[in-house]
Amino acid sequence: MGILTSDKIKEYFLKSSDDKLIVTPILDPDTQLGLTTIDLRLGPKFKVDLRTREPVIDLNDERPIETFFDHTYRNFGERFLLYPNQLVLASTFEYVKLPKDLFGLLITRSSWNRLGINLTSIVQPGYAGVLTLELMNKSSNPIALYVGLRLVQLCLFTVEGTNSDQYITQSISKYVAHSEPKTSNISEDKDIEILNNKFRNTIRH
Amino acid sequence: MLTSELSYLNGLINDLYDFEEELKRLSLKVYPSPVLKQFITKELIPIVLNIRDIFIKDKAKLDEDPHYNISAKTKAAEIIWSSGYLQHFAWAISESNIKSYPLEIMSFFKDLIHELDTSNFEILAVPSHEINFSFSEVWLPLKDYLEKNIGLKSNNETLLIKLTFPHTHRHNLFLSCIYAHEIGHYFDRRNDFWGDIFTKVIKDRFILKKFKPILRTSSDVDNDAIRIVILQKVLGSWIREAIADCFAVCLLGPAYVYSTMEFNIFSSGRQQFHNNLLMNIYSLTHPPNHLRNNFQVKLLKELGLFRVLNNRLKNEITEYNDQINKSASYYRDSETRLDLDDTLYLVENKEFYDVIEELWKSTLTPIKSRVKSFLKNNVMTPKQVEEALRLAEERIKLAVPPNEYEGKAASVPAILNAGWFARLQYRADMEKVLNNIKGEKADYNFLENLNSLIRYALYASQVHKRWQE
Amino acid sequence: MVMSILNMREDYQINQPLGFNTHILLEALQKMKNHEGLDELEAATMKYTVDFLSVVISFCEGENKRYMAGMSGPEAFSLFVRTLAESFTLEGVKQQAEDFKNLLDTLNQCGSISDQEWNKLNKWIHSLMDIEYQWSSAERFSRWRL
Repeated sequence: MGILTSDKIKEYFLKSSDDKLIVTPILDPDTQLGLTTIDLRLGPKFKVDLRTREPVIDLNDERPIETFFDHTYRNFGERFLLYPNQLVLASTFEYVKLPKDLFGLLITRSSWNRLGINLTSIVQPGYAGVLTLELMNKSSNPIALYVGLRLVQLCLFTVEGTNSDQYITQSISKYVAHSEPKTSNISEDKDIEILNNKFRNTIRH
Repeated sequence: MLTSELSYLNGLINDLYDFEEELKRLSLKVYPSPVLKQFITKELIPIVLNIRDIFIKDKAKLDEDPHYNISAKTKAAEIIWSSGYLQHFAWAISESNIKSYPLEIMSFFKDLIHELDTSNFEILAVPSHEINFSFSEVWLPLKDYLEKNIGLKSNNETLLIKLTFPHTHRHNLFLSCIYAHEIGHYFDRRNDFWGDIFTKVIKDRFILKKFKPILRTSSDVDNDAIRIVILQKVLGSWIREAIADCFAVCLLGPAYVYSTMEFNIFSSGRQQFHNNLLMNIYSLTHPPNHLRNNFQVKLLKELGLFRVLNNRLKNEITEYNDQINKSASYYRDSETRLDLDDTLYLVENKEFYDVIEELWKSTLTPIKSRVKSFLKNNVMTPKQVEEALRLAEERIKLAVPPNEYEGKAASVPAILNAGWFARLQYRADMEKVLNNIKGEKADYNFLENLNSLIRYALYASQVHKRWQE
Repeated sequence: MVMSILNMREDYQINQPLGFNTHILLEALQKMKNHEGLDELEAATMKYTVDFLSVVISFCEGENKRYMAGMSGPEAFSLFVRTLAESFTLEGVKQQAEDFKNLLDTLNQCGSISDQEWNKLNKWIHSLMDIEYQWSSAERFSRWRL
């Protein structure tokens, strides 16, 4: 597994159909394509976490996680204030589709890290959609973000091994062509069912 | 309490105090548009105060002299208040919802208004629980009305365009091509195309004589003036529909035709479902579907947008056109459907229908020429259809949004058409790429995925275009 | 569009307000008859009424002029026809509009018209009042509560 340089990234852009890497639209290729990264911009839609009357996110509750968030949007170039310790789900402006042999690592650009916004997230091979950004301001001051600013960078790695097809299937069935930030789908996690059936509901004293 | 002029006036004054309070509350709520806030504080509240002052002055006179005759200005102000015009205006502002706004498609239409009409406007997006789309300017008629009826003037020339759309279908871009029809109505109203075309048609008196008797009244009235009143209502409405259809076909080409087909299948299908009868009946406000569809398809061909489609896509249109023409039941005999007054009834029959159809058809050529010259280079081109075909095949089919074409932002008409082309041709291919197209929700999920891709593409392409400008 | 396809209600409501107020018009005429001066709104109302009739006359001559935002020549014509006591030919409608316009002009310039002419004008304005009242009572703007 090695990190892709800009030359390799460009090669992937030119491949055909399923093997092709897609990052669209890249508004300013000269500044967005770095030596080993692609800078991605902040998209217009936001999901802001809410304090609610039943404030517990519990996988065993039927309440959808979506209800813990309020939706809003800003136009391109418009300001969005990120308050300290507030969780906001945003997304990249760009739509990304990885071929089955690439794996992505998404991290905040260092200039934003130093202001107190840092996120790291992985992008599975075969993923198609905008990339959800879990924004959290760890400084003590609100930070003004502007839609369209380059906020994160995507590093790409080649995947080694032979079972990548299965990996893609699982990944795509979970994340399908999203065009806006996606809240957690942790409630679809099968582990909770196993835990409930095998342990929680049959506690052995 | 006595029913009297004084008690009625008191009631009106109290209503206006209530309304003022409501408006003040609303002005705090209309986030995030400063324009709407200003409309309330600088326009609506002063109007309410002005009307209330008119009432209060007469109330004082009535208090002094119970035989005082209510002034003409108070009566005029009462008509304004009772019509609900003001309240409806405020209601539209209060219902406008920025979160449910069909943002992506509306940007296209905003640009169009900006280019062809004015840049001084604000959109009031009002979600509806009905399947109802409409597009109308609400401020200028109210402003004009207030000035002419109670002398209240305003210098505010900002257009407030009320957009009504079905909340549940706000992201259904396959249905949203209907906005192109509605914006056609908007441009028509702003420019009075239909009034000009109707007036020209009516100049030919000979054809007027062809429908008689059209009225049945206690005394026999059979004259051109009454015929024109009927035609203004029926033919006038039909012309407006043709103008709106013409706008929509010129703007969005095949995508609009597919959208109307889908809706018509839904409404005809419902009739078939309940009555086991496929009907294609006209109404006094709309031509029958087969006439409209024939007009749309003919226009599509004239613009060169049909010949560039592949056979699969052409067949979809021609098969529907055949079916709707076969199902036609063109007129119905009826005597009382258009109630003009207590004394006048329209007798609808084949003669009447034939005249309306003939007159309507005679308006189609001037309609096309007026609309095309108004839209200038916004008329869709065969090249854009070709662009759409490639976007569907090279991007949507692979679950990639159709926002870019040959390194540039794709055009909105091409994106919407690409969505339709993919829907009609590439379902099997997309099933292989997107794993959620299976089970009982397969069809629903397929459309959701397509909608998501097109929605994204619409937004991204418009940003991309502005970036490149 | 969608609803209007489904919606088969085809009543003929009056869906446009007149471009002037009939009560103000009547008061203005009364003042002129009494040789009293008109205020700004009354003078303007006289003008709006004449404009309305001019749009109707133009339409009868085959020319569409817009009367106000939301009312074109054919619509003004239809409203006018509905205020007439008898049914007329197109030429007859035009003649009526011209007659009313001339009466208003005469009254404006000389301050007097014959009783017969006054009654005719008065009757017409009362028909207009009916139209205006119907328009304001139609509950067209039903969802008004905030």
